[in-house]
Amino acid sequence: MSSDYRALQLCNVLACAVILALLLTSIPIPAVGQQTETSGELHLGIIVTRTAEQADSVLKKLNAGWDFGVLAREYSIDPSAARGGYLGRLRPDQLRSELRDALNGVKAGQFSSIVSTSTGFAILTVFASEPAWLAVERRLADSLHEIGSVPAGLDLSGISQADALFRAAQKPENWSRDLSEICEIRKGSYAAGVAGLQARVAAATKPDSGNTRLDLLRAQIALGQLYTYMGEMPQAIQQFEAALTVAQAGFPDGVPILEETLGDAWLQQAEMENGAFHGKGDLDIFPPLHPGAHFDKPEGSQHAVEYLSKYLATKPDNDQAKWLLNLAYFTLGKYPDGVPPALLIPPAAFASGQDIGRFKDIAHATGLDAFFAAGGLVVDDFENNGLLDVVITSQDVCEPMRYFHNNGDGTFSDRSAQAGLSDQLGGLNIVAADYNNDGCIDLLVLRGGWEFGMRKSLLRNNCNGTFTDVTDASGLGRTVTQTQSAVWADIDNDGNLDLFIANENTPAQLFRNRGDGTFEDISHAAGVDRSAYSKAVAAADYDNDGFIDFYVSNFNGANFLYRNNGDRTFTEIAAQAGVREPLFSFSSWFFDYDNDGWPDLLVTDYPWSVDDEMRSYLHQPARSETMKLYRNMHNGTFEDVTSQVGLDRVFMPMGTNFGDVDNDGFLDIYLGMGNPSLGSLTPHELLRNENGKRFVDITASSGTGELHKGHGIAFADLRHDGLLDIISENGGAIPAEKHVLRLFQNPGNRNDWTNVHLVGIKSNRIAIGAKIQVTVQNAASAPRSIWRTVGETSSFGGNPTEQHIGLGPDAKIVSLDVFWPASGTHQHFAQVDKNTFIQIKEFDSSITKLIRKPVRMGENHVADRAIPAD
Amino acid sequence: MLRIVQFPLIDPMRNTPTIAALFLLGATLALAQEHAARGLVLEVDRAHHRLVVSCDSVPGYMEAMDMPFDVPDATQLNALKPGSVIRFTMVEHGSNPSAKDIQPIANFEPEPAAAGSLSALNSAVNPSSTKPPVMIGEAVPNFTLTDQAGHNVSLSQFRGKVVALTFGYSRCPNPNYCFRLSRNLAEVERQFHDRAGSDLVLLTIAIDPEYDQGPTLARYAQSFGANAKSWHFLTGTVSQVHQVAGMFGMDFWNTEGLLTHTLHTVIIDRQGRLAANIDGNQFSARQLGDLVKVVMKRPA
Repeated sequence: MSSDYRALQLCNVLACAVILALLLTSIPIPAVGQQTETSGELHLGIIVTRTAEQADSVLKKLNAGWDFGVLAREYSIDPSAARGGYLGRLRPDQLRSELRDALNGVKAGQFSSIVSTSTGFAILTVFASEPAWLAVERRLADSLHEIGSVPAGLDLSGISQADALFRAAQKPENWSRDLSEICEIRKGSYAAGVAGLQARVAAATKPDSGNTRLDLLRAQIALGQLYTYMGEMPQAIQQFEAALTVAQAGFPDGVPILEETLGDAWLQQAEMENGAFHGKGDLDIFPPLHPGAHFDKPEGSQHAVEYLSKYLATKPDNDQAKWLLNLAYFTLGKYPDGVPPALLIPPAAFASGQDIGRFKDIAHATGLDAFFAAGGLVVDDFENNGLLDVVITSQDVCEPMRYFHNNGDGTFSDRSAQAGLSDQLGGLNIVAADYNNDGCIDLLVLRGGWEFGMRKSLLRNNCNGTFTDVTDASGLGRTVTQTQSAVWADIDNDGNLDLFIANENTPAQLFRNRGDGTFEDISHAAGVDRSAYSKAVAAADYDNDGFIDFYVSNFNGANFLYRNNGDRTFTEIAAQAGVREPLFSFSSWFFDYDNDGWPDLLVTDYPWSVDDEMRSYLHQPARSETMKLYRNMHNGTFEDVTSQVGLDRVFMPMGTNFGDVDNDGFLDIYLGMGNPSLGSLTPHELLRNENGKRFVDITASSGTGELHKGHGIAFADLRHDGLLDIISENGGAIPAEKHVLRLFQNPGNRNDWTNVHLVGIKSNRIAIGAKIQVTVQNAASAPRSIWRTVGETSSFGGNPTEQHIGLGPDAKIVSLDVFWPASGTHQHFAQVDKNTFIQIKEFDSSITKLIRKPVRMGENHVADRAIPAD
Repeated sequence: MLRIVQFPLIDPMRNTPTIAALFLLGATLALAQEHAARGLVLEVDRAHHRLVVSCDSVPGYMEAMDMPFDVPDATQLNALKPGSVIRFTMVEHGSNPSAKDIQPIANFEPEPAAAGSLSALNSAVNPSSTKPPVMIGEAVPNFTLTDQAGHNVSLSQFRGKVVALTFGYSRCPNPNYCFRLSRNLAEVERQFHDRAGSDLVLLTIAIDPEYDQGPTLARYAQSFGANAKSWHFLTGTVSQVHQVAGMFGMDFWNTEGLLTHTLHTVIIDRQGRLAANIDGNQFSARQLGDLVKVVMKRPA
């Protein structure tokens, strides 16, 4: 947590008095947080700069509409800067005379002229009321308990047990840098745990063994959890059933949780033996695609119904168990009609408000047949042949990453071995960028998220279909951290992509790219080395000042917004900018959802409560936080528009991403769901952006409600037909929940589009940070602009760097503008052809058309379907 | 482990209802009355086959109160200790109520159940690594940690005072666990306010000590209104905290960014001996107060 934040929280009577003493004639009673109004008191703010020129520049920005708190945080040298310049509620006569005089006549929202003081040059303001962000701060400080007060629910995954075994295992030195060693430790510690518990259970089962029945019960549950981890469900069920017998004899309190556990375990068994994790019959997509369809082998689902019904007879309020009971009936072909009415979660709860057509999973037909645990995904053209390839990683520390080469004929080939990637084991996430500006996109594999520190891998693309691990040579191998998120961005506009790595419980790292293939750690000097349990980092020039900024989302704590000061240092201004929530944040990204030319910010949260997600579907009050959509206010701050746009619903998203699936020019969202527990089975969500005004749930109508765990997600025009398909790396955190990848084929629409590929010359080669403005006229309506920035993608998903841009119906591209980060170049092109693939080089005066042959994939078809009227 | 012994429904030696029972239940009933009850064990007197329990209220029958019970089947006392949370059948028949069908209550909420299975895993895989916890009546080894004011605090400095301690961490998201246990201490502090600091000391030991330090720890303490003179929030290195936790059977693991942990509330007497170790959260602050009162009443 930042020291500034602490200072803020500890600004008690004494500390505030010290801060104010420099400015005041008398020490007042601090007014922060007081509710009673005293006559003559004003909410005062101050910015003090060292030089008159700085004060002049700040005053200009203030008059241009910039937020006082943000500017105070960044520029003020007064101790009140930590609180956005807020001094509290004071009477002007408490101020020293020169300040009092300057304040004379200043009304709420106005600013004083620049005053010379003993410490520098001051600008005062009067706030109409206490700054809104202060209320959020107080909430964050005081009520973590309330915000997070959600029962986590049953955890049936064995992941805690397997990780405890891994941590306890004897390990050789430097194990965390040796990927095959990590795999061996995982296998060995797991086997030892199973053997130890088997012996313990056997011993404790004998009479007079000295073990209590409670010891036996706990050992049986632990062993059942470990079997669950590997998906050995018959053995797991055997342990849980034995534990249930022990509980029934002596621990009645333990009976319900074991019944619930057995319900979940049998459903898992049913899914495994019926091929659900391979997508067989689409019986893991909800709402049902084929009503009445059911598993061939019904026994497991029947047992699940039996146990969950028993459990619900004693615990009728558990919405997770109720939901799983509905799913068990669904796998029997009996949802909704066969579900007891009192326990039914009705289809209406999942109904779509709109219909853009049904997506169809064609992954298998294309050869994208990875059967993986949770992991990362990047889709991009790694071979510079105009075809998008697919790279995925798996959290399973024994699973090598996979490289799928696009054959150009609608199929992919696994070229992991030829590419030299077979020894790259594990990795919860992966990010791509051309860090050495050689024109070929490189990869960075991130490992250890949620678990323990492991080496990262920087994989240099050799431009010949192979990759070389250059982690150690680049300097990135010096530290081993626990991470699942990083972002490439050119912080100093020198044309080289720098790297921000968000870590879990160790300081964040910022590496400056020296341009010679090596990196310099500037985390501390840059002021970004705060420690938090960070789950995401995203980059954008959110204040349009020409320098890229960072947002870090944290699980179990407030988030950080690092504003780039333009000199390789950053100021953390999340509080003043109004973007510190949610408290349990996960993946996040910048995107311009309303096409106003300013990056907005979406931050998902991860509440771990299927109960609350179900309550949210049923429009019942939920206790969990929701994700946050922050709209850029163009003054350094954001407005929380989550409920305004209809995103104030509880989901448990992991992998996420965005893209314009209906080519209307507005970016839609797809969320992959779940947590490690087997019971956490809720549909992925496809949310259509309607004119930048609201997001409409189109999961049911689009058929994209995959129930199994969703990780890396990308939107990409794999077929060169001007439509974004959705690629979703599915699979849970445990080997038991490995799952096939899905490639949801876009059903098509009549809208127009363009696809822009930028090539940087002075700016970084793949143009990360370059901004595209397409001004388009639809039929006879007034021209509008659509904005995209290269490199913006979800922190847990990998969209290609080429920019597919939907243009809406009957579109005419009036102009296309590109704004380049390193050179500041602005290119303007008028009268650009639509429905083509184009390439624009930095500084070039003309556009190059790219030849892209449409590709048929799976049972390819392009439906001629109208988009619902907006 | 308890053996559950089936007793005859009515103890033939004690089948005369008391005046009080007649008053409560009406004169029509002549048989002993049985009530399902639960509570926190305060004292176990094996010699006299007696048990003192701070009982939960029994709706329609009695308010929550501490009560002595005869335990005709003395084997039922074997596994009981001060601090055991039990479910039992209360038999009201005469001046002395009795207790039978005594069953300890284990917490099977998801997180304590997970913690229990992790403890089982630990001891199965590495039996030698887990030192047995301090037994009731044994001296608690001294330890030194740092409190929210930055001062070193040693257990030995509280000799002559009664100590109530529990564990927690500021980022604990579930109010039923860490938060509830420290809230219990706050209630005990209120109950014994005049003697807090001088005769009774409260300790909350942070099990996320790398995070819960300095101002963060101070803020955590402040959120419970803790007075640093009577209630110390303690932190140290991870290994120091593990060592202290181990004395009381307190286990915790990093899982998915949070901690999975067992739940313990401990009372140490004036001589520095373990007086009680309550497993779980299935008891009230009032019951904890009753237990503290019993220990405070013991001769110095």
